Amino acid sequence: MILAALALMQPAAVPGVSVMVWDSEAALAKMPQVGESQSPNVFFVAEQIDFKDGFKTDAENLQDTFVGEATGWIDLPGGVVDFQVEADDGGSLTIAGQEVCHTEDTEGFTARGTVDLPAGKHPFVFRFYEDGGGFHARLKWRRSSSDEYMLVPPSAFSTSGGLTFVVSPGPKRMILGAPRTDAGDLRPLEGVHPSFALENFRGPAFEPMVGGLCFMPDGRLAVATWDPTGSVYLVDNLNGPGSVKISRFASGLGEPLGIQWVDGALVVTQKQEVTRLTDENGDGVADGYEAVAEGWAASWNYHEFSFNLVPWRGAWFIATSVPLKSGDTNYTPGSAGAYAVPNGPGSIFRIDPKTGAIEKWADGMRTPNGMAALVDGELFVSDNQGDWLPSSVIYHVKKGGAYLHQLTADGDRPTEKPVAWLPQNEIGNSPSEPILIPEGPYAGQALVGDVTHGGLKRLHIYRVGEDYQGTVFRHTQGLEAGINRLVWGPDGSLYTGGVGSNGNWNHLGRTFGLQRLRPTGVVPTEILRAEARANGVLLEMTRSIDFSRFEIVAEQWRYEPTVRYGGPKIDQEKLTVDMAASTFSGGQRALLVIPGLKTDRVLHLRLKPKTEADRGILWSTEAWLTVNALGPAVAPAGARGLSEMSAQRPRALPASQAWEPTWKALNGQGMWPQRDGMLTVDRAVGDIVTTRAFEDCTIELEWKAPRSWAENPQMRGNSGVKIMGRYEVQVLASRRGPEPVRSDDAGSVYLHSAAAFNPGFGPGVWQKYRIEFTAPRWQGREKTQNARMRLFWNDQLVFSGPVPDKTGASSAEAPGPAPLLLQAHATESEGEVQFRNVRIWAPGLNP
Amino acid sequence: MLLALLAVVGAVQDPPTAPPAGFADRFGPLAPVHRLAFEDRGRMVLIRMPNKLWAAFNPATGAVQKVWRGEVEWKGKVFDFSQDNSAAKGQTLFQLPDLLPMAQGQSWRAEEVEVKDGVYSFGDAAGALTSPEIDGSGWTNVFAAYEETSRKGPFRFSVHGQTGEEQWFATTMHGSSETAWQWGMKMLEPKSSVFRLKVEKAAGFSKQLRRLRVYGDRQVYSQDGKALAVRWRGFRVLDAVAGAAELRYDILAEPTIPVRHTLRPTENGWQELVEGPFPASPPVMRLMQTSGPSVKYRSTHPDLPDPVAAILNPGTSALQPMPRRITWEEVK
Repeated sequence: MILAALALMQPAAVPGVSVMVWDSEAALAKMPQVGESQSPNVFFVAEQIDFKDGFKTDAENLQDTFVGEATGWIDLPGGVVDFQVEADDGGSLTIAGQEVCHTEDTEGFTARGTVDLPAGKHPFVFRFYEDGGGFHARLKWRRSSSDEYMLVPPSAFSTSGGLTFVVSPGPKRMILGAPRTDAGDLRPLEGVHPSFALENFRGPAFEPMVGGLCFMPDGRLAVATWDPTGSVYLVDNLNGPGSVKISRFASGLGEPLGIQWVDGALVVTQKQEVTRLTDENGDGVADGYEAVAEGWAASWNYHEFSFNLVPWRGAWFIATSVPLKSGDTNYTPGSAGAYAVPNGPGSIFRIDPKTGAIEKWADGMRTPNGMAALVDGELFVSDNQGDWLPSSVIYHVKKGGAYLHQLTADGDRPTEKPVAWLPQNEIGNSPSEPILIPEGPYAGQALVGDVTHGGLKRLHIYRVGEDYQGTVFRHTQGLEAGINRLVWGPDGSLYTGGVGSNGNWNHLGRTFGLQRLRPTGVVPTEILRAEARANGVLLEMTRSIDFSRFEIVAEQWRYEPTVRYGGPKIDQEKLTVDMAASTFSGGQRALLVIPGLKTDRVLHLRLKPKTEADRGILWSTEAWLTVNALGPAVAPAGARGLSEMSAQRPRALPASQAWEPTWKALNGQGMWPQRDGMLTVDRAVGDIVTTRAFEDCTIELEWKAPRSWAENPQMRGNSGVKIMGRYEVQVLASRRGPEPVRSDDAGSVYLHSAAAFNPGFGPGVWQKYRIEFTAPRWQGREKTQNARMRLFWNDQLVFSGPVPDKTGASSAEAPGPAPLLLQAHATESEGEVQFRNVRIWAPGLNP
Repeated sequence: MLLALLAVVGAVQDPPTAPPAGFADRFGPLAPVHRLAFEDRGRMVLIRMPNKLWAAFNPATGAVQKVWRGEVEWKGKVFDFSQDNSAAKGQTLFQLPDLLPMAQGQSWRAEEVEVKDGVYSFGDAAGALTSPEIDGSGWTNVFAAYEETSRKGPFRFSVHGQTGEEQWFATTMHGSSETAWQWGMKMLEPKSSVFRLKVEKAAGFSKQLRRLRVYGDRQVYSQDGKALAVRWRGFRVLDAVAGAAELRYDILAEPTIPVRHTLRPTENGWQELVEGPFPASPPVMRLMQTSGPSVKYRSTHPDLPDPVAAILNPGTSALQPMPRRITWEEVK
């Protein structure tokens, strides 16, 4: 029934035909099909179809090897009309879905056909292509067989007005015959990632153009819609039995593009205002629309959107986009800035939720249609290709940050580097909301939607020095619309909201969608992470593969932001992976030695299957690495050693023989809160110890450190697991792997040995320790043998060896059994460390 | 008095306010309030009442900007995919001024510019167009807006006040052809309350200009002759069927005056009730002005004559001291 609302959304017609032209990489012997998600090089509105010599714009000069399409409505007089297509090297005409003629059905470059349609405007598509030599493309008609063929006059054509088309330079992928690679290998995926199962639940009557998604505490899904009604719908009964129940909670909002449940109410970011919705009379429909924050400088320009609503560090963050006209930034440079209004467009704003005070946090955005807290709890935002953005990007949001979109048309102020480039048409086009993956093998990575390219991309962000950079992978396609918003549901599913508009800001022409992806637990074989290091690219697969079955193809390029819309790849060069020098350890990790790898580049890696038999092994063969800097070198020997260690797995012990310990405060006063099987550190109580003591043992436990941004790393979710109260395995909100870790980081035997490598998932995620401990041996008061420990962190062996003394400020070594201690360390985190599933196997402790 | 007014409104139920064509769906009623860019303002609040009566409230001023009978020409990305913004369609019943007043007796000065049918045509020679004196006192969010042709060279706009040139900007041209009209706008921030706007074009190309206008938000509240800014606080839907809403804002006087501004349909038209702790001294004044039909203002202030405080005819204005409550309605 929202179709009724969409009925309003008829584009205004203007005279002319819409023309798009794509640069082909290859010679064209016949009319090709433009590859999926390939934005055109050129878009313009022409008066009529009479083209010759090629297409030249400020950014492009297409003379040979291109494909074009002119579309719109043609006003027919009614009855029989003859058409003549003249196109060198080829062309075709389709009117009202019927192919009228095609030059490939004839000899030469001319084809004729006839239509017999009622009077009025009919949609048409005129396709043409050029391989080389001279070029022309013309559409002629005659109304009676005695007439001459004449160019169809401008008065017969009309097309959609107000179109904003995404264009981008550089060659585009064409399909000539059957694809030669699998989906996910140099071309889009065709389905949902195996770790998810796609579920449709919205019902046929609910067709939301999703501007925002969030869950309410009662399990209902709130859906804000970017449509004429500007509504917030509440979707209940998501998991049955029966169908979902949908009600409209609010409406009349101006283009809502963000929604959150905050402090007991739904809060919406609508165009140029943040609004709290309340139901004061309790009838299930909002009657209060309280302006929480508004008043930042804005004009009525259609493209001054307000995006997102991200609660972060005690405040709310939103983003605004710059004014456009016909797709380009609408600069009006002068003494009061270069936008129609100063200090508003293209910004990240921090909003004090109590006072509504607005602070500009960063600027230099273009269309920042997706923002979220991701790795390390830091804030990241996506931005869309256009002026100053040769390709779409992901940024790390820093206070005072200046990003790529310059504030003036001739701007040259220094800007922050993107964390990740999303090369246009390859792995992105219109990126939207990112979301953190909280659990599983991809935990700590992110998924990001895309409205035009469609589906989801997977993003691995890691730190090099003080800055982040990232690698992008294909993840999911096959959703019902381009993806605008994402939210995890209480059922563990990922809910995806779709949207689309006119022009080519849509995926496959779709404008609405709401589906969910339910985790399956299946992990396909693919690249888990890829990182640029000083001596190569560290590649980790989700499981061991035979690397010899793949040719590793590498290519790098850079981008140069200019005021022109989009931008080409620059200094593009193929690189050779030195297979002899590379280290392939255990089949799951590899250190690829790539001579000539440079910084400030995008590196494209492809694991190209060598034979037919090798196709289909990988879910996706490609990775796009943004190489702003090179991380610390990985010693090949070290990599080999790590692999050998990581190949070891802890020996399973029967759970029935484990002791699930009981606890008491070390000082005898109080106890940490225990709820739903979780122990939460209470620093007022202090350290806690098991009620029983032991010596040799195996301990398994899970822990989670809160996200933290304390300046002192040791104040970030610090705790510890002290065997016998003396030998501490550190618990800390350390960065996720494979960021190097120190001897005071998580996974260390505190101040004695750092973890051999970092398999950590990072803060906010449950992690696992297994500690196989052999207590020191004594003769009387004399120690005859040091304690020994094997430490598995998330099932990876990270330490194996003696522990010669107590660690840190623990109790001195002494003979005899002692209890296990969990530490209540000082912290500056918002939240405390938690433990669960603690089990101990030790002689004498068996239940 | 307030109760009596509510009783009158309670009788106005037929016909209920209807959703605009194409907006309805089956998942619940549509609120009678719409937020959107409307008539070149970005944050407008449209209230939909029965009998095709609409009011456009401006949260930047705390005033109803326009009331009309008819429809809304819905334009914009979510309405018709266009880059335009929405506008009223029908008979205007009431309107606060849009355009800043220009000095009477002065005219635009054109140098090497031809004026015909509302179009300023600049030839190949350098040309300039200078406005009469514009009085910006009591206005906020002032914009220069225009349409231009040609992708060659920008116009240079400048603002001239008591301190000389106080602001300048260049237009930018995008579009598919040399002849298509392209819209543009820029916020003006003159240092002087009275200023002139100058449009210049360099030599070497021709160019046209039309719909040049300087518009803004006329501030309606003042105290001691000084315009008072308004902070928008949102609204509450009082009656989704009848189309009644309570609009909330603060007048940034000292101390701040929280205002509840109720708008309801009546048999004759619409009725507004403005309530707040307005000080007796110095009084907060409110501009009463209309460029539409006559509007009758009623006051419930005990010190003002009741029921009719003033009847304003089209094109007239007056300052009224704000009592705690004031209402006005269309005169049939």
